[in-house]
Amino acid sequence: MEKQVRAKSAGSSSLGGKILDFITLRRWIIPLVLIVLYFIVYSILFTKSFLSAYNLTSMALEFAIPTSFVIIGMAIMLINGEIDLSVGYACMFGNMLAGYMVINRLPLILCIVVPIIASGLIGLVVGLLVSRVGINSFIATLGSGMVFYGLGLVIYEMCRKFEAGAAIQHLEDWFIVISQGKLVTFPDTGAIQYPVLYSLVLILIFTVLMSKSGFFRKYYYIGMNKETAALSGINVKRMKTVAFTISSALAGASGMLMCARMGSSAVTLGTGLEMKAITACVIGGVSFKGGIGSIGGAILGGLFMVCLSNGLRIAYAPSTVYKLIEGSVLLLAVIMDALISKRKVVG
Amino acid sequence: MSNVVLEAKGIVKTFPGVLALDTVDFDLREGEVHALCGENGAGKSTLMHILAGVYRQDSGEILINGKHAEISGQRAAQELGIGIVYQERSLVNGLNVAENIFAARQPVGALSMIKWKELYRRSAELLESLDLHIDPTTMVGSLSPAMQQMVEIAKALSLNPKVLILDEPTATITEREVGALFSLIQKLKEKKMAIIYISHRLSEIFRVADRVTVFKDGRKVQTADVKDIDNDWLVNRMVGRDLSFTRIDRDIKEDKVLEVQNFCSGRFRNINFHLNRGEILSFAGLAGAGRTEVMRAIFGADKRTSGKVFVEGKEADTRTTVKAIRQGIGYLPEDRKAQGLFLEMSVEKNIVSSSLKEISEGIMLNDKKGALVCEEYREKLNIVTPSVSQRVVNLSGGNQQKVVFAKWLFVNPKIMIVDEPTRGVDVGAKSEIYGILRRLTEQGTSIIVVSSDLPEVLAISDRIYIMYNGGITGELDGKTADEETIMKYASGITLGQ
Repeated sequence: MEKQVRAKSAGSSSLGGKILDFITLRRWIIPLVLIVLYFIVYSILFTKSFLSAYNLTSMALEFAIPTSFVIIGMAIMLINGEIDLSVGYACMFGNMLAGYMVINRLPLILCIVVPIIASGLIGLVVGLLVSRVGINSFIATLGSGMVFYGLGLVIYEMCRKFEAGAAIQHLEDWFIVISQGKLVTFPDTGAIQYPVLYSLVLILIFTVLMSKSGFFRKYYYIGMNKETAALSGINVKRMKTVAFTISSALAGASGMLMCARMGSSAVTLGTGLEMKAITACVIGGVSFKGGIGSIGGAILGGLFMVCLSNGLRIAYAPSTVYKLIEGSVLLLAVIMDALISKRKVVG
Repeated sequence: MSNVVLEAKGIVKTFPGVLALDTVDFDLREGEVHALCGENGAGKSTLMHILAGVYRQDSGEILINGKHAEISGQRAAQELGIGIVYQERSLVNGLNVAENIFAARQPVGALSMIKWKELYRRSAELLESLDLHIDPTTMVGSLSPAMQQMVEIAKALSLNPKVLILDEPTATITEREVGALFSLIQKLKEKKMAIIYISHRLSEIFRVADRVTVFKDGRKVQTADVKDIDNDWLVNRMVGRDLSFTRIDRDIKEDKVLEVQNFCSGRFRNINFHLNRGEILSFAGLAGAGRTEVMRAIFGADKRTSGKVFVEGKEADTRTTVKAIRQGIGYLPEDRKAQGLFLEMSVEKNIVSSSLKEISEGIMLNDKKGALVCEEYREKLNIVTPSVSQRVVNLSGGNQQKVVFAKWLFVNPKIMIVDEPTRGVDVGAKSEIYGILRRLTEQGTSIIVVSSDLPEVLAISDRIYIMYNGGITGELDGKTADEETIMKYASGITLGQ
């Protein structure tokens, strides 16, 4: 009987219904179509400014760090049914810590690794709090975000004492080369920089892991039904702790790379990054319900977000409306998620 | 002959690809209990949903008191005097009985303030008229499942229906509590209420119903007076073949695969028992006796305060589910949908969920291998699904349960704990599941069954433990056990002697 009850809403026969069913199962199509549309429209309207190597490579760089790093972590979090609101501040913390270490002339490898590990450790503690103590991840990461931010400010203060009033800026070449080094240079001063490569490698690794490895497959099971997952012999607590660690470590890594990209550290870095990442994930089909979505989809969502801000910039939209538009897009994406989640599709 | 209250003529309902009801006629008389039975997917729920205004029929007519009736929606059904109690609970645990009964229809005064006194007075009157001794201010969450079911019925009755539809009202309550429900139904009959009663438990139909209509594959097979028929007649018409699961008396040698010593927690105390190799050991008792809690603690899903587990004579650490599985214990949970399945995932992903290592090469999954294994189990267990990539939410209850079985068969544990393996499963799938259990023991697996279904316990068990109020009160040999003795132990009567 249940079969027939569901059959009512399953599989529409009209063409529109079929298209909707198709999209419901492959939600990454939505950002893909939007990106293609954006490229077509802007290539026609703003041929010169949009199609320049300079614009395209800076879009790639903006996408690579910090966006893509944070999106991967956020996708894992949402797929296993949690959320990480601390990523923006974790990014700022990694940024500050890296800058502090660079002006103290610590070895390059430490300047790279320590911010990642330190952020990851804080993520680990939050993961333990959420999975063992049972604190809601929303509140836990809101709190840990403040901890990241506070620590970042403390480091900033330490730098001011050290440099006698100066903030962390004009960092030296031996460090900034990790983000500013160029793979390919174009005549119009545009260049593909190293972070694009890091990002591609990271996306590739996590796409393969999330879709093909047994370990990461467990996140889908946990997000779909935590109770069943636990009774299936999946160590839910440990898996969740690992997810929080990964998310924070990736955010810290992106902050460290941002330090090299800008040659400085800034207390305002990473503001609103968590919202951007959540929007990207949801647009790309990572459902708030958990257990549904893919890294690839989230990445497409992230590319769309970059297109959006690029489009506004090229069209000379006043910067004051950026937030308004980003917020509206997030709401639209969440509405879409809620509506699509209600559709029952056989397949 | 008493008056016909409700009549359905030539009802046809199709869903895309499914003919759910094929020109079905049905009539319901005043003051009768009319049972509907049939396997999952036979069409009884669809008919019920049409009567309740959830669906519209494609063609056919519904007459109420001889007059043509348009049931255009759930509201219209209520106004026409059709009340329904769904299988799924609609009560809110955090609200009290009165608030639940009059949910969204509380009597209100100025400024839409709830008139609490009137609310409680009317609830008390309603409950009293049903001889239910429940204080309307009791929180629903603190009531037993059976009492919650009564409140659910009271809620439906608060709309003064002439026709009451009960969909599997006994699915979640135990044998003893069923009695209370049936006396309520009796009372409603005396008040000339017409009742449609849907249940998978055939024995209940003989206890409570006046007439029965059997559905199969969307068609009405036959309507008969209950006094003229027997169990075999029903099963035969439902399944189209004779289905009897005959008990086999087996002699099980004492060879302790699992031994539990002095198990205690807040919900049970001093649990001592053992399980022999190749044995089907049942745990009988009333809901809330602590059987599920004991099993979950053995499997590491819940905490224990003290006690030891021995697997094959050696003390075994089973404090987490991961460790328990490593020790060779499997657990098929009582609530299939909430604890046994990943509903929105495919049959395949469900089956491999506990065996990701087995289908991996290095750290990467070999999904082809997984699909092959699933095809094998689909055939072995006769799981009815268009393909293994079908999502389990689209399967019937019996097939869903087989998917959970397949998942554990793939893990292949030495000791399998199955909690209410046939709850909400139709007769056909039921005997298939008994077959699976028996085959498993023949292959050397040892099985613990937790079941509230006494005929089931008697049909499949080699040995039976009975629990009451958190303790084991009796141990019986499956060959000589009978319902009466089990009920005595299960209700704690023997304790005083």
